[in-house]
Amino acid sequence: MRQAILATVLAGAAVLGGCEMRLDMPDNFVTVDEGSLGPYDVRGVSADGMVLAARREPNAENGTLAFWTEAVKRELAARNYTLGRSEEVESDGGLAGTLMTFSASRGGRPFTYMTAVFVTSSMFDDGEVFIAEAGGEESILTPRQDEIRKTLLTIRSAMW
Amino acid sequence: MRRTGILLVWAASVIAPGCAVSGFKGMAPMAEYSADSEAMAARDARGVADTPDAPPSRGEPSRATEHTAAVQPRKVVYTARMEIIVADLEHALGEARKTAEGLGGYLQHLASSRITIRVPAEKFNAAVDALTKLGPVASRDITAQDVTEQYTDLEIRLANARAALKRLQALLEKASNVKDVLAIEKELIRVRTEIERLQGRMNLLKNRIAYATITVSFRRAAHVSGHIRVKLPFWWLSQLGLETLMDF
Repeated sequence: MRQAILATVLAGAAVLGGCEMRLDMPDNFVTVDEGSLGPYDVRGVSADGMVLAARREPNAENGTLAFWTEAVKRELAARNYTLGRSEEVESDGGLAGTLMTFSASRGGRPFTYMTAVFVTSSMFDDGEVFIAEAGGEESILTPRQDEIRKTLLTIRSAMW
Repeated sequence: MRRTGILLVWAASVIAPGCAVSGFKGMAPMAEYSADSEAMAARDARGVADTPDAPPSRGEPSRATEHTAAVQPRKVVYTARMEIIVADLEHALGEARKTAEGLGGYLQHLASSRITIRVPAEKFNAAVDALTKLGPVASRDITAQDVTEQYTDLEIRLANARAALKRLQALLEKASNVKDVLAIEKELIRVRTEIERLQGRMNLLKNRIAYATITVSFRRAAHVSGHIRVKLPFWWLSQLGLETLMDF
């Protein structure tokens, strides 16, 4: 009974948006205060222009990881992003997800964009979609791609 | 010993980078270059894009200049950057590579949607034409960089350094005491190192002149005409991507 009450309280707090998404920012990234205006819960930026971010969005009924992975791929492909790699991953907190790496040209310069999507389940609602993102010029991001990948997998709710 | 010292100072000054070299020997080539540059200016006035059909600068003198021994042929480095929209990235990358190899060139770099190829300079226009047939060209940047002055300067500095080397070798044979021998050998090492450095730069420049560099970024076509794209009713999907992420 006590466990059920605790689960209800935690889930309720999460649903009410009382917990923000977190990423363990790598060295030389500063965390930007997002306030309540932008779409992100947290965003970090390096002096050489790489950006990391995390956010959460409500899931839809029957919204599976496969559904959101396909939706993200199609959305970005329609905007001239080229998918380089898509892999199944697990967040440090144990959530199954998909990490996608895209390339895109902006102003004639090559950029890399990485996004990891995770879907949570809940007894009370449809759960949530956790999204971690990273972007930067290809020449800057590529040498640190492994480190950025690890950072994206640290995505978690501050309640955890 | 005093004579040896003077000769060493002379040898050092002759090969010192960027000093008296262009002052006394560079004059003639510069004047020749000026005469030649009039033709270049006239050609540039017509636009760069139509310039390198058969670039006159392959390092081999053209028929017009063969009998004018003093006139240096222009040395030009051709570079192109293009962005082309295609339906199939893999196919386009493969075709670009085949184009390079078919024209006697080679692949220099290949990324997920970008390729850099090198083609013989005289095939530059043919390569650009072939690549533009792969799809609509979103942007194109073609450069013809005249490096005649740089090439001539390097040639002169190399010749002077080699002359200095011969002088030092002759001096070494005549040296009568250990102190002189040591001083000359030290200078010989320095001159040889300088020759190797200059030769390396010359080889690199010759390669850049002989082979044009073409970098093509391919972009996948946003949609195939006739298809209707259904926009999913989740607003946050449209906020994915670099535009929102990198906008502070």
